[in-house]
Amino acid sequence: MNKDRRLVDHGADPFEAALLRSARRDGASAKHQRTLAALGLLAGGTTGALKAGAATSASQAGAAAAGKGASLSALKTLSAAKLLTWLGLGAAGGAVTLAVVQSRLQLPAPPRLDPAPSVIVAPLPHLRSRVPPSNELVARPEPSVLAGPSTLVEPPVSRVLPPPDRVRPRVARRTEGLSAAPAPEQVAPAAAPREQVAPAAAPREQVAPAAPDALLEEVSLLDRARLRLSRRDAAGAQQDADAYLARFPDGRLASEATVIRIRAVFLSQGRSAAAPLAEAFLRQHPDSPHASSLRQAFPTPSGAPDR
Amino acid sequence: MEGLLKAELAAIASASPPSLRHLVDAHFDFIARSVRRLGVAETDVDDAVQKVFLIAARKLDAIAAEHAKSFLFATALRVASETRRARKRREAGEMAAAEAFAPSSETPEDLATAHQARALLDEILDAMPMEVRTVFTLFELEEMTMAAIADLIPLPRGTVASRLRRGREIFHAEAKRLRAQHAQVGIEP
Repeated sequence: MNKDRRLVDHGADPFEAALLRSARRDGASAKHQRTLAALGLLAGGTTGALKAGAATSASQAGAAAAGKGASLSALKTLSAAKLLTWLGLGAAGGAVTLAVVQSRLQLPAPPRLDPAPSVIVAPLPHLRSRVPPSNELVARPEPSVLAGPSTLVEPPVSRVLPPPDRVRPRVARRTEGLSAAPAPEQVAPAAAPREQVAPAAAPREQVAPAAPDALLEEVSLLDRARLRLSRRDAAGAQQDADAYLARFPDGRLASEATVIRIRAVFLSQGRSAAAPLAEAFLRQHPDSPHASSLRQAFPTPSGAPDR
Repeated sequence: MEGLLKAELAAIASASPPSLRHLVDAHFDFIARSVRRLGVAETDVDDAVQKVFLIAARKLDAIAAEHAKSFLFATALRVASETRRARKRREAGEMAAAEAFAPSSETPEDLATAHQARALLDEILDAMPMEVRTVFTLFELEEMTMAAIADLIPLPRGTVASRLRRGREIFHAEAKRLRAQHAQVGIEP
């Protein structure tokens, strides 16, 4: 017997073999060039993290501020990218919302790749092309709040508002040492509301007044609702969703707020309490992007999800 | 700390870019696959790979060419472990909330497709102790021979064989459990 025979060829049933084969594309999305850029190993590359770090070190020592322009550019790009990430680019609907937020805040356009690849702009490459340039789509899409089974792996909600420990170190890491550039808050004012929203202990009263316009306030309210939901603070999430719906009954994110509320009720009071709310939502918004996941979560009385 | 690391790396890279470049070119794909299979989420793979090579760059002078792959894999093991822990902390609450909703009603056959199959494989691998998972993934997924694994880690060949056996036992048991779990969901009213 060959002791080096693989399970996928011998001994695995079709289901197991399918699972094993699913790993064949592992790592395929990893970007060789990006790592080279990060290490400063690309010929002529100037914007890698390593180079930025080197420039920082040099500037700290009072040497020439080489790389300053690249750092500034990278930081601006980072600000836009991070804002998009924080506010929900993980979901298609969130992307639209954020495109609007971005345009309202007159942030830089969605990040463009520098001539040399940069790890700083890397996190959202697949999303840039999905952000529409105009804000006319705002009223239509709704970010997916009730994730289907496949999104349990990468819940859109988590991208909308990751916990503070997911965001802050990354920002610090990406911007650390860019002493030639202004502090992140100076370059990216849009990041400020997010920073205020994120800490669990931060009272909500500090958030809404800081929002420069109604849309930001809408986003801020729902951001906190999502955060609380992700922390299983169902009462808090419901409170935020209620506050949103009271303040913005015709808000652009009202559908999302309603679904967050349904989810919060589900968590705190169970399926029976949430089901009537879900049914009401589905009657009102049968074609909502949330509809399929709601139908799945709340099957019809006949037992089968009403698809 | 990170800034210091980068500054340090900048000096190293400028002093010996060919060596570092060679490491990246020769082992990038292997390290990317490895960190993924050691439990790093797809979205975190790039960062984890970069971290592995940043660490390697710092210790470049101490890495013997013939042991480079072994060094990188050991580093990948540590980085993967850290990355997994960090992600688990971040997502614990989110996942718990998501799981509060009804599970999928898909059948095992539906699930055994691309993305979902990969997610299930992650779930199975997560059930393995890391030392078992390491051997299992190198053998079954990376398709290395047991001898090569014993050299890479390094471990006595008998230990590699016993860990692989254990990994296979866990794999079969977890696959059976998942199949039953999803079959049950599939017939749930």
